[in-house]
Amino acid sequence: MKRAAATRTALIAAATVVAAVVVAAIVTLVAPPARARVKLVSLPERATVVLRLDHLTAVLVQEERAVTLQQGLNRLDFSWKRVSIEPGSIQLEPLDRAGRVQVLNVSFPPEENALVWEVDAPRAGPVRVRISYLLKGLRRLVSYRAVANADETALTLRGYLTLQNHSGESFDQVAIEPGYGARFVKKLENGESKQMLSFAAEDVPIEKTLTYDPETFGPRVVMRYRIENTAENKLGSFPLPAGKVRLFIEDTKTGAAFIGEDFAEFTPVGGELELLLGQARDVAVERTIVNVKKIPRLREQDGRIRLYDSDETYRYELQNFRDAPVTLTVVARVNDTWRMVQSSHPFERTDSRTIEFTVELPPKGQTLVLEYQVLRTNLE
Amino acid sequence: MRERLSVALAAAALPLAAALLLAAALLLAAVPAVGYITLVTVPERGDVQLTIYNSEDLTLVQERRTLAFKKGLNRLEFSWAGTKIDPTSVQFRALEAADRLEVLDVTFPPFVKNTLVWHINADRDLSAQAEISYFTSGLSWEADYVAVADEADNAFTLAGHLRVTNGSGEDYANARIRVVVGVVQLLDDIATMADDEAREKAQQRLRGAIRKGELLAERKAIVKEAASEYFLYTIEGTETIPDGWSKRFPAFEQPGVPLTLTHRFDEAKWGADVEKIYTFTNDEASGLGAQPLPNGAVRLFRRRGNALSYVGHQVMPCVPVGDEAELDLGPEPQIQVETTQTDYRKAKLDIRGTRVFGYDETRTVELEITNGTERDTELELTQAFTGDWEITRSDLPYEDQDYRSVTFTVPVPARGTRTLTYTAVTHTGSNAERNE
Repeated sequence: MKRAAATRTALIAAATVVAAVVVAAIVTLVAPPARARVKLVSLPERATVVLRLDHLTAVLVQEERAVTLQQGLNRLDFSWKRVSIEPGSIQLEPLDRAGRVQVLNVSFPPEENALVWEVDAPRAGPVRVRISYLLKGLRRLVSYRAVANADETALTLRGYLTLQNHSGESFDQVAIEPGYGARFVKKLENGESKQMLSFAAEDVPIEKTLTYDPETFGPRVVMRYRIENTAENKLGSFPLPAGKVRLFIEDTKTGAAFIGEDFAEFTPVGGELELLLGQARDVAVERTIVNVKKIPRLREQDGRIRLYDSDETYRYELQNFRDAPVTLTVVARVNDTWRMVQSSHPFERTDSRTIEFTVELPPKGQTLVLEYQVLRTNLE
Repeated sequence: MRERLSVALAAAALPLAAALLLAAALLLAAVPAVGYITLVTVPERGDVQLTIYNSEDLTLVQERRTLAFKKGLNRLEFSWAGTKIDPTSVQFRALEAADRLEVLDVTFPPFVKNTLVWHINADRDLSAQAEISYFTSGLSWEADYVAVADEADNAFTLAGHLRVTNGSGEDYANARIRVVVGVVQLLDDIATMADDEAREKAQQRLRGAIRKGELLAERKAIVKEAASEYFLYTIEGTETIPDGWSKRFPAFEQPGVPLTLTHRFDEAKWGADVEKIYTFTNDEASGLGAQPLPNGAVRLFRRRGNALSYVGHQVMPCVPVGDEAELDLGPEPQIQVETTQTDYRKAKLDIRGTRVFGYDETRTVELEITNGTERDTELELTQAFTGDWEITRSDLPYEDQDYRSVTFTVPVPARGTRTLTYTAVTHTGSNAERNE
């Protein structure tokens, strides 16, 4: 009886010790406390950091560190606090002695922004490793400044990259790889915004166009610059990312005068970029519906029209108040099945319901009349 | 250490009051009143194996312990406070001297939570290895992959990982871990999945390698084999995963897996974007094909000189052996498709009396594809139709995708443009011959 009691007490004590050891083991694993910055515990600071922005939205951070490993099993703790890292994306890659130094596994402690790599080294010594992860909260913005020459035949295009760092992480010296244009080495602190000149292209040929297309732009004549992203046009080595373009024109007195701004869509290599400058006030268009007449094809017994064709005539009075002639594109829409009966000017059918007239307008307020007649058929 | 196993061996009779007192004093009130106690032992958990299913929140735990039995009636007590064990699943099985041990009953004592007691009769004093198995929830596993494509997008290195997460409430130290791919149909059959042979083979390999001095702390090989409809992946050796932790192991790394890069345009799926797709095959020719690839997230990178650039993230469904896998890498903005309906005509009106019963609409569509990338591509371009439709003329051959869509394969040169034009007729009303 006495003996039994003693045995049990001893065993319970032993069990407590085992539990403590396990706890101790866990504590050892978790031990490095989370720091305010990304840190590889017991390791030197990162040697180089690269921010790769060549993905459309994601930011990949690649940092290299020299790690001194012991022979055999090593534990590398990596933890972060208030930094928007995607934990599943973190990778460790030994760069030296590739294939000899091996990452055995990685453990993720509960409710903590940390992980522990177990790394095996065949012998002791320093090893360069690359740690990469996706970083959130680093926003990027592209903007352009375009300065056209006085006769609007070419422009200088400058592309800027703005980084807004709300990732929680500060970078002392970071290489920024935008994936196009220039590469930067900068200091980028948390909370900081930084604008950098990515590229500049001079003498990029432009075509200035005047368009009257009320369905797209409202009842006004708009001016646009057309730029081709090709090598012949001093561009074409990379796609132009989407961003706001501020447009200026060279002015001998003020240097450059602001003439408007527009949002540039993503323009692939070989693609075309059209920038809207605003309204041309010295070219006037007056559109008149001359005639719309129903031609009955089928009637109900009570006389109501069931099916008809429509005979339509439209007139545009075009006036150019400039001193020189201008070329204007007039865009008109004709729905359903139709055919042109007659037209005062040649036209191009750009799609099934769009026709475009390109007309030369004489200078100094002269009026040019454009008139066409279409027949739309089988209307219900 | 929240699970506790205690054995009470009843041999000699004891005064009832003393036994009660003993139990109360020494077992923290967890043990019910027992009449006959001479000795209590808490044997070491000798060996534990986890078989984790990911189709259900289910893990089979098999523990082995060596127990000392006295001749006659033995009480074996098992308790599991704070864990997620399914009490109805707990089983005792003698691995040695099975013919000398008889489980008489299993009791869930009243007023004591998370405890059960087996009454086991031994026909003589003996020491035997026994297995206690049960199901627990809270353990899970998932596969994930890192794929690094070469610069030419011709091949990639595919590295698979297994990540085991322990949320079971129990710390598992030095456990053998196996994970099961496949959907569990009959829960009763899970116990038969235990495959001692496979584990033994893996162990022998590891021991052999250590003898040859090949391994120091070698990466754990993850051994796979088929078990009926399922696949078992065994992580070599033993692992410790405390409660709340998860651990990720490299499963395989296969360089030079051939891949095909295709571009697709299908407005029903991706809107106006051209989608970039990698295709590879889980077969021997690709250096794979030994086992199905469990479903999991794939992170894709592309080698760029010395560095990697991030391509995208995608969840890949399970890829059976011999099957083709598609990884959707997101839009390729450098390839653009501009659709123009160049002609529209309504004709063949079916007029009876004063009513129009049907008509045909003919549409000509021009698709201009601009490829701003530096490589030639074949764009798989899908066009969808409604109603009773037919293509009457086309620049390029096409294949029927399904009842209401076709796919054209359009070669577009690098930094070039290609135009595809086709004409389709839709028969409406009385002109229609096929059902919607």
